[in-house]
Amino acid sequence: MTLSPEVQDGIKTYLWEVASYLFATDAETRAEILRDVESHIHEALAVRSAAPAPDDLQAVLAEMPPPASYAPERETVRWPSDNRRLTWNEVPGALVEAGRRFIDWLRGFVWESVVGIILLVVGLPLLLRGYVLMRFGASYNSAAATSGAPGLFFRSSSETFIVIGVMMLSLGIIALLLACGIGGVGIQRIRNSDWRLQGFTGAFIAYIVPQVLLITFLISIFFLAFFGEHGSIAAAPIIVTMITSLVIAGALDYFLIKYRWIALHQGAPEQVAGPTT
Amino acid sequence: MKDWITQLRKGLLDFCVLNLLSHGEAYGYEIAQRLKSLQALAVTESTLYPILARLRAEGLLRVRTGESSDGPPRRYFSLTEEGRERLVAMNAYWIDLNRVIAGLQQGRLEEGGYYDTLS
Repeated sequence: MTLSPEVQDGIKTYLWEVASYLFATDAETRAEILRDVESHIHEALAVRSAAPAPDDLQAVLAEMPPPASYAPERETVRWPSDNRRLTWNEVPGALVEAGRRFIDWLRGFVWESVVGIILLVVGLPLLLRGYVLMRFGASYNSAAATSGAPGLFFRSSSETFIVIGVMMLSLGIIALLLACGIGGVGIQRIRNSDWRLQGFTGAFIAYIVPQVLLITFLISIFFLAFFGEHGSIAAAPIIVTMITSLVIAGALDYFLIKYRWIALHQGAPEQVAGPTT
Repeated sequence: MKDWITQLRKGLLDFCVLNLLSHGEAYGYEIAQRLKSLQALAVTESTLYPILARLRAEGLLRVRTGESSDGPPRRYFSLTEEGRERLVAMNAYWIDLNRVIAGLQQGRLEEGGYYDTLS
């Protein structure tokens, strides 16, 4: 049987998608399942034609279950399983067993959930610290300008604080936006797997927290700009940054909702006919 | 598919695979086609191949690779000695279970049999 590069690519894409849902399975089992699925596709293609076309591959894949159905089922791990007290001699072995079970449990999570939460943990302090440093640098500048005194810091320190503050603020925003996007993809994958993959809470927090935070931040800075001592000029760059971030977060939301729609309805929203009136 | 059917079917598939392979070795596609032809089982590739991998990891199946003119080498599955022993136990349990359930359906409580030797 000869396969065109197009058909070979189609097989690779399907296998890649299957593999992405098997990440929670150990490497040996995953490789074994993928070998069997690949072999299955080749056998099914050979039944159809000696030189299968992309349409044959589409037909074969349509008869097979969606890649998401390969996700392992959620398992509730209870430990100790028999609810009894351990003897002291059993403790070292029990600790090793607990570690092994924890790793197994963690493997059931979508990686987006874990990465999203890590990005939140890194991004939030960066954002807040950056904001504080920027404000501090700006206040020092204005204080030094009015009094003419060098103060506690060298003159250049105020600029340094602003530059470091801007960098930290930007990194914080990037981390939060990444958390938002990754969290959204995680939610999508968990839903596609019929909830067999774990980590929905983590993915949801990573998805929603940056957006809520950006909106809260924007509102508070907006108030500061009008009622605070430094006025709108000091707050303007931050407001612009926050609005840009919110627009990006909104775009992420739009694309996630759109692709969810496409996955559900097998077509883009504009291609799916609405109800006739 | 209804949830209770999925739950009921889950443990049965191992049993079906072992019974199928008790009549001789077979490769993945072949097993899939034979089981898929039994509509009541509603087997899909995504349930079958993980089961084959698990049964092999548990030592109930062995794998032999053979050449195929249609693509990657075929992986032929067959029962190990442990697999045969497990199947004997499963078949005995299945007969016992059938008897007990049939009794329950007729309002009788059946006791004894293979299940008691396990507990």
